[in-house]
Amino acid sequence: MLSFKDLANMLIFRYSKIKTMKKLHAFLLLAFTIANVSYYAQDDIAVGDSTALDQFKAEQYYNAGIEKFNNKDLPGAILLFDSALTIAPNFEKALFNRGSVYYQTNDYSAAIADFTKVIEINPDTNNAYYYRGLAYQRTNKSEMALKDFNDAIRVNDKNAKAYYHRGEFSFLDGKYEEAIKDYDKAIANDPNYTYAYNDRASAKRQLKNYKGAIADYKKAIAKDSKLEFLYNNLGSAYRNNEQYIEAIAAYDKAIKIKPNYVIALNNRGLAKYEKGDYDAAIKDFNAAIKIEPSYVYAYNNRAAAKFKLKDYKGSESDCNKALIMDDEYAAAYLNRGIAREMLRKQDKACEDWHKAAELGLKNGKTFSQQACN
Amino acid sequence: MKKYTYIILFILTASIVKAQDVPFEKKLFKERKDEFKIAKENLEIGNELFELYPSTFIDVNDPMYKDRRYNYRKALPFLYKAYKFNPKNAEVNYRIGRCYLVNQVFKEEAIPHLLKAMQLAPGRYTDIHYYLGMGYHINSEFDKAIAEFNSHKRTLTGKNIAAELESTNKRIEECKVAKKLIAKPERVFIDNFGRPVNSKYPEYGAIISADESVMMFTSRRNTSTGAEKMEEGETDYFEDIYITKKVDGKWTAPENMGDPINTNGHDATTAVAPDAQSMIIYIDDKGDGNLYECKLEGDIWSKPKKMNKNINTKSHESSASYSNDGKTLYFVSNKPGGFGLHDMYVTKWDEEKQDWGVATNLGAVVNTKYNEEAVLIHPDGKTLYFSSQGHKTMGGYDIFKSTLKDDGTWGEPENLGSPINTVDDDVFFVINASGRRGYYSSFVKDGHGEKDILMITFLGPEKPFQTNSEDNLLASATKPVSEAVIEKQVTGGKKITILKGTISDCKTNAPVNASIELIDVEKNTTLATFAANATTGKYLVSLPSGKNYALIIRKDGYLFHSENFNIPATAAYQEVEKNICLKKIEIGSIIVLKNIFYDYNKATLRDASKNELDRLIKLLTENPTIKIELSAHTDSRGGDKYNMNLSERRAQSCVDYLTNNGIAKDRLVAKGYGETKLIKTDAEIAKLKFEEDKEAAHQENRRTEFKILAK
Repeated sequence: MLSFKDLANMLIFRYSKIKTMKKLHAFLLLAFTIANVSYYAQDDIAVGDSTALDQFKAEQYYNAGIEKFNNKDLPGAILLFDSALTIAPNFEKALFNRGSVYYQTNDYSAAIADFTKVIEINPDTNNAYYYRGLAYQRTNKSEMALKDFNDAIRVNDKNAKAYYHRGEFSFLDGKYEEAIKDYDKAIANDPNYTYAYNDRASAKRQLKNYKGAIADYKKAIAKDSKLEFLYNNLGSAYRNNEQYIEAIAAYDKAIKIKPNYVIALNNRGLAKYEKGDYDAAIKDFNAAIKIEPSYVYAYNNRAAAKFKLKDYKGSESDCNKALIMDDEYAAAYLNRGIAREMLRKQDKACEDWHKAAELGLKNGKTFSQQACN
Repeated sequence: MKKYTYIILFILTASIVKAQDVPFEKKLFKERKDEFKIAKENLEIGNELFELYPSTFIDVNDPMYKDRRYNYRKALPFLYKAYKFNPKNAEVNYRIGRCYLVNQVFKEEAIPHLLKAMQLAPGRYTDIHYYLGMGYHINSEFDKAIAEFNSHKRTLTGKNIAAELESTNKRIEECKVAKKLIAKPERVFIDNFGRPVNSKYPEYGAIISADESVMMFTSRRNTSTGAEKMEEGETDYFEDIYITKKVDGKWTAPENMGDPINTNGHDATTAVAPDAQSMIIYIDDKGDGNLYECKLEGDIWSKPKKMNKNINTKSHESSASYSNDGKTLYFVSNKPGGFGLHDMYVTKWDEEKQDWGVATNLGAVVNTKYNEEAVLIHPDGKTLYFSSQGHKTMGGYDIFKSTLKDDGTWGEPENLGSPINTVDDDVFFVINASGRRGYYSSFVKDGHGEKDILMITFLGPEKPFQTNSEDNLLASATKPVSEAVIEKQVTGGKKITILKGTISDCKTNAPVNASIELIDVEKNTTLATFAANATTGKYLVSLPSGKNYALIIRKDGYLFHSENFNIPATAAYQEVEKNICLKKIEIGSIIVLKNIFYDYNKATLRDASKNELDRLIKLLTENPTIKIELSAHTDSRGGDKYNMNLSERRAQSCVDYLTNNGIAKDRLVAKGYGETKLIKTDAEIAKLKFEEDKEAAHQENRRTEFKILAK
């Protein structure tokens, strides 16, 4: 039979083997490891302890649960953690790890229940706040999530991830300056935090600080040069800064890493469009459509490029396709109206602009006023 | 080698023989005696007409230039018959070339004839480079034209050298301007207005009401007045004015405006008021050229009345344009004291004298030493359109626009660009209130014959497409964040509101020829007074953006009607149709007082409200038995109690103003309704897409009304 220490070592070893898994999995495994090691380090069994057998059985179920998890048998892991908790209902680490597995199986309410119990047992737990915050985030309970990230930071003011996710909230709330402050702290506590550099760059980009964004995206790439979206985002920051050649080069890299990266293909097409190279732009939009025939943005953007080439019929036709896929696509109505105006279909153009206005596009109203009287 | 030399010599000799000038001499055409005789007769008639004026340089502004042009046009068919008989005569080719250049159409046909004249008689015609340059210019071969004009400059001699040099340099500049403008054409559609307006006869001089519902134009068609008195075979009919109206989006068949507008002489359109209730026409007056005004009284046009001496002089007055409020008139005259020949002038309506005041020249920024013609002030009151031979033209007259600056001076004129302007004369341009459509006339090869009225649709700056992109902005988020990218918007179009509709009796729906007073709310001054048409009750008022306007509609026996249009300076063109019905002074009649304004969240009346309340005082004074309820309403925002209280206090403020100004208290009841009587419900407002529309709906709910309780 394996000693507790051996089991711990084995888990650490396994963690190191699978640390290349997706980021989400990695944080869960880290949680398991910390939980496992700390459990055996803190709780030596005393001689003559009457609960020792129950505790031992609970630990066995618990460790077996971790084994199941490592073998990617998540339901099996939950069953074993259940067994551990039947014997020892306040087994904090079992609660934590079951919550983590629930989280991974997208059963966020069960995860939240487990993390809540952990917090009840130990109000100063750091990770339970943080992970419950993530679970709340997944269930769109923003205020609860934010409160948990705040608590996670209160308990541990060096929790880079809590800062990062709190920043995310500010970002989504349009409070980019506040987001940047949290990303700064996340980076200060974890200087290799690639995601934090990316998100800080994005926040700067939203504030139209394109140079700052470019610098941060580059820092993120320096930390991890294999993430295609970093190159895509860098390309878009360059594009925002009207540096089209640099933008195209960055998108090239993103597409090289991930050849079916439709978003980057569409963006590269836009960079070429904005640069005035309409034929090349159309090729990129074509490529995006070939990979993902339902990628509606590429049809709309291709319509724009065709218009510039005076292919008004082609432009109208692409808008039609976009609208078949999404009949509430305001931009496609607006654009089809512009193409139809050049095709001398003024009444139809006006109908399109009215529709675009109905869908909330101010230019739909403006064009109607300009051209539909 | 010797053999080749002989061949070359033979070819050269042959070419010289081929290029030899063949004079009109009987002995050279012994075998074509009869034909020669006819050709010679034609040549002599052509030459006689051609030689009536010197063929040497005459400045375009010299009155002789016009007369010579007329004779050249007459000479052309005779010379051409002679040319058909003997195409190798240098002189006839030269003269045909000169005649084509001043012809109405096919001016580019001058080029081959002038080239042939040069080839047949090298060096004989010292000015031929100038005329060949003109041919290339009209044919849009600008580099060749510039080269010919430069060649001409090197050959200049004689007493007119300075004027000729100036004219040549001007043409070189015109070629350069044309090259530049044609390279970057304006975004427009140009369409033939089509039948039934256009016919095989000339149509030109279109004038339109501000809302494009009425168009008048000049035509020299066979239905013109006096056509029946013309000699047989004569087809140059007199100018008459025709009218067409837009009904359900289609133009009706044009009608000759008949007596008293059209006479047995030339009658031509000049200007129509924005509401099409008055018109200015040009009458030749035996060459004097004067402007006459006619008014639409019901559905009958009054007899044209010659405008006063501040406008008409012994000189030539040729075109005019009304301002949007009818209080300013722009016109063109070549009276002495201007900057050149025809200049643009402005005159203001003198309220005391009830006539047009002394005219002033519009100044050297817009007027040049050349001709300015066909003046048009846009209903926005700020944009002046005109044709000019001066400024930076592409050739001949071009259409320009100049904007009135805040300091009252005119901005540098801008060429309207190609294809609106061409290298030929471009005159008689009008534009609608939105700035979206314009009308002008031109000879078009695939037209209906002679000059046709053409319609220009100004597309304005290219409308920006909205593109879409998305990025993985947040690294941990699975869903990319999308972004709508829209190209930089460019402003276009006129900043003006056209308010139009009909005024009728609320009960009978019969049209009412009410008066419409336009007031500047902030300044509390009357800007203009209009009248609705007596027969139709139709009215049209153009409101340039940037003012808070009150419109007061009045008619004896009715309660006045009040409207408010607060139009920010940035407001784009819009047409608002507002049919207004007037209520009789009867118990229960309710009138919304749209020009009463309070301080924000207070009951204090703003000064701008007093004009409206003074109107109410006048009504109550003129109708001393009337008793009214004066009520105030709030929008639905804010607490019910607060709103009720605020509206009560506001109603009381109005009543206090009335009593302080002599209205007996027992005739007035103040009532606050808070948000209990909304015109637009919250549900209706919630459905509106744009904040500005929502705000407008709330604004409609916030109102002050009066109701007649007793009379």
